[in-house]
Amino acid sequence: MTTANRNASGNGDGEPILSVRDLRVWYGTAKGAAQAVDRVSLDIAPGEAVGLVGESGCGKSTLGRALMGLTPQSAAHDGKIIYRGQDVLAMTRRQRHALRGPEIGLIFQEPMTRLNPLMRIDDHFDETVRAHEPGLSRAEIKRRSLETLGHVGIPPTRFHQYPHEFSGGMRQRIMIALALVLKPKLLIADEPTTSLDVLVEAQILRLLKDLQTEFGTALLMITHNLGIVAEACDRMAVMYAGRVAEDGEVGSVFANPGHPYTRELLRSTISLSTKQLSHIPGSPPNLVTPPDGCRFHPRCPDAMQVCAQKVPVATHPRPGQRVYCWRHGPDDRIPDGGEQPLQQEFDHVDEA
Amino acid sequence: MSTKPDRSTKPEAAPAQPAATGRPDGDTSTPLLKLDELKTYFPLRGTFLDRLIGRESGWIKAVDGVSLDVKRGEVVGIVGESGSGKSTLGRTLLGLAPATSGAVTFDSRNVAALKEPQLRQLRLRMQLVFQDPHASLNPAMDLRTAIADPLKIHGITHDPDDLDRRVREVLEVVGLSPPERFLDNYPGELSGGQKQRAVLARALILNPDLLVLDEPVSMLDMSVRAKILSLLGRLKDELGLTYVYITHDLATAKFFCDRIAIMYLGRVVETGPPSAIYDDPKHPYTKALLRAIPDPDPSRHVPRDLPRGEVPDAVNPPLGCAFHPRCSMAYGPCGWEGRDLRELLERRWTRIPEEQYERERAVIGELARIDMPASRVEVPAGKGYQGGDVVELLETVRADAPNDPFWHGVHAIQAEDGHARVDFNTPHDPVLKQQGRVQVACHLWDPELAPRDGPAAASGGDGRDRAQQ
Ligand SMILES: Nc1ncnc2c1ncn2[C@@H]1O[C@H](COP(=O)(O)OP(=O)(O)OP(=O)(O)O)[C@@H](O)[C@H]1O
Ligand SMILES: Nc1ncnc2c1ncn2[C@@H]1O[C@H](COP(=O)(O)OP(=O)(O)OP(=O)(O)O)[C@@H](O)[C@H]1O
Ligand code: SF4
Ligand SMILES: [Mg+2]
Ligand SMILES: [Mg+2]
Repeated sequence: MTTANRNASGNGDGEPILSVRDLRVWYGTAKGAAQAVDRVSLDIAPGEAVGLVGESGCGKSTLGRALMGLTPQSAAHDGKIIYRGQDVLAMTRRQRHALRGPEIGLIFQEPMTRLNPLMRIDDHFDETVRAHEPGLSRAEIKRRSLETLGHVGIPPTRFHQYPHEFSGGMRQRIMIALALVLKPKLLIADEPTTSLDVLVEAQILRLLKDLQTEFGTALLMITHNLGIVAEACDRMAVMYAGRVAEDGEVGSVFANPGHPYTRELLRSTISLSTKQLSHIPGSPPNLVTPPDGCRFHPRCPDAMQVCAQKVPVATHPRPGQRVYCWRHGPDDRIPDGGEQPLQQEFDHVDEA
Repeated sequence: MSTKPDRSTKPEAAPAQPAATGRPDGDTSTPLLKLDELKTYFPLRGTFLDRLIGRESGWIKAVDGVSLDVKRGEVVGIVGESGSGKSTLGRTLLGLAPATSGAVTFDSRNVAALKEPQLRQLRLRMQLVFQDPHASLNPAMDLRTAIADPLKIHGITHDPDDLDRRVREVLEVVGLSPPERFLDNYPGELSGGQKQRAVLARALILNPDLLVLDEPVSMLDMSVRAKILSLLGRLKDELGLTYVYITHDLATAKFFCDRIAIMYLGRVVETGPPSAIYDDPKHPYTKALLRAIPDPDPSRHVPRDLPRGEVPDAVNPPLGCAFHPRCSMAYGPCGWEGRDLRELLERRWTRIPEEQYERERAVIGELARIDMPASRVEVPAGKGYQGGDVVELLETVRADAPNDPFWHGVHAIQAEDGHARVDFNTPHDPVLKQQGRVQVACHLWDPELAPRDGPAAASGGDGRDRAQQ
């Protein structure tokens, strides 16, 4: 309880539905352990939409899956994931299984691989609901399923069809309905619209927003697309090389990015108002031997001596905004001369 | 032509034969590439059973009459959603997919009329860069071999020193330098951006004039995207290239292109310079696309009126304007038909309680009988119901949502024996017409078909507010 009460991101209102504390996930690889998630702490409040962004390979999906206790066999983990007072990582397999669906729902990126091609849509719903609420009558299951499908715009006339009879966008909406029919309190959506067209994407984002307001579902939205975060989220966390670089309210992070990585990520986003292209030099490090200190320091235009030596600590430059960057201090932790600029020897070969 | 006053106030003042086939800019220099009414249809292979029972096999109209000029040094964007025919258009103009009809003219020569040796020569001058850099490099070939490969395939040179010199040169050009560091790399050892550079090097080693870039940055991270686009921009100037840039991303297209063609279901629905298209989109589809892009500025959010549904099947596109089932501005002549009625009913049924749905569903017989591209359908009555009951249900549906654009398309509903007959207005196919600095294919901008209050009035307000015809 005491852990859950301490709100890592400084967003003080109410008990978070989910608290992550010092979570670490390593993958065993031929070259050694890859630290895909490294000491991540994060809170999600009930009914809140949190966006999780960062370049490819930064550990977003690994984090999202770990929250549901879905780390692969080959991975090791430690730290705490407190869901409504209970530690997910300390649960038995059965307890964890009971959590998935009615408490925490997950939407994957690839809808076709998650729907059974041999099962009709009604059977999918039947199976899902029955697994968690065995007492429900057939009629009640049908009523609930049709109601949920209606929310995502799938008419009752299509209830008995097979997955291949639907378009990609419709299958994705069916997946969302399947996650929602159990009325989860937290929904983890891993790139839910990446394979979809802009118009369908916009429809699905609106849908998720409506569900959040209507049922108070909390949402963790994993995405590459900063536009989606601006559009659909209340708070955001920026991940770099397995760590949270910054988190805070969407409006304040976009207006005043505290971390140089957030700032450069925002600058490199191409939007309708882009007048000039900008990019972050270099590319994210490998996670087996990541850089010392701040993992962003080799690419950081603002890097100082201390950045290459010591891991940054959490600072709160603005209420509700948490930034891991030595530029924000604390000054008493920076050794003498640590503020000197770091000579960056840019290897322009890594420019691609 | 562009100085003409806005014709929206007086539609009749427009010339009787607008520049549907004329050139919008009056430029006299011959284009490097010219497409004329290009069509690419793929046969729809039904199963044996389909043929046995005589089910329609038909065609996928992937590209359905596209005309386009690409001037030397220009970047022309082909923009549209998945399945709109962008890649097929790119492949057809390169001769990689067979054109069903129409003509491709490259450097003043009709490509279809050329014989093998000349055709091969010409093909060297047009190269394709694919969407997926991971799939377009052979994982078992190091870069030295992969990039030299086109030179060998086309018999340009086999001399090892010459090959080595050219490969190093082109690696430098695409920013993979120093070349020594990459020559012996396999694709698996490269980042996404480096792979895309290698793919580009392989296309450039043949010294082409024209590159068809098919979603060259869509699979890349945002910050890598910016790098590759800058590189492409620089190469265009340095090497005097011309690009056809295929993308579903309106943001990069705005930034990157000199001219843009918006495609929907195999046709160009709006084309013109980005400044005109983005600042003052005319086609409802273009407007919808622009409104749908998530804006990475949380302080600038506008409420949206999103089109419903998804891109329809290219096998049996909607009658009239292919966009009409999703268009909030659609009205009488846009091509209303049986399938729209089915959709209207299904949309309603997602919103009402299950019992009411069961009741209403029972009034109507087999829905498949109205699910067809026809301007007249007979809506069968369910067991124990009459044609009059069906009419009554349809009138209830209308009374509940009288402003749905669908009802603009209904000419008459009549009770007949065992069914209700629904007659729709005659469908009209929109064609591209000059409108200011763009060409647009939409009835709202056609003086002969535009609603009486004119296109400007119509586009200014919400289509649903307009009085029924
Ligand atoms: N099963 C696995 N075994 C070994 N390494 C893995 C495994 N899954 C992921 N990784 C590695 O862990 C790191 C983080 O991967 P993850 O998929 O979480 O990133 P991501 O931020 O979701 O990236 P993307 O945006 O591309 O989806 C990457 O370096 C990846 O290569
Ligand atoms: N070789 C083929 N045989 C049959 N049908 C095809 C073939 N290639 C494309 N099609 C069909 O033609 C239509 C247009 O496809 P195309 O790949 O050109 O679209 P696109 O605009 O490039 O889409 P995307 O954005 O998904 O790449 C689609 O309906 C597609 O299924
Ligand atoms: S800690 Fe240093 S290197 Fe890291 S982001 Fe801040 S300034 Fe840059
Ligand atoms: Mg991922
Ligand atoms: Mg394509």
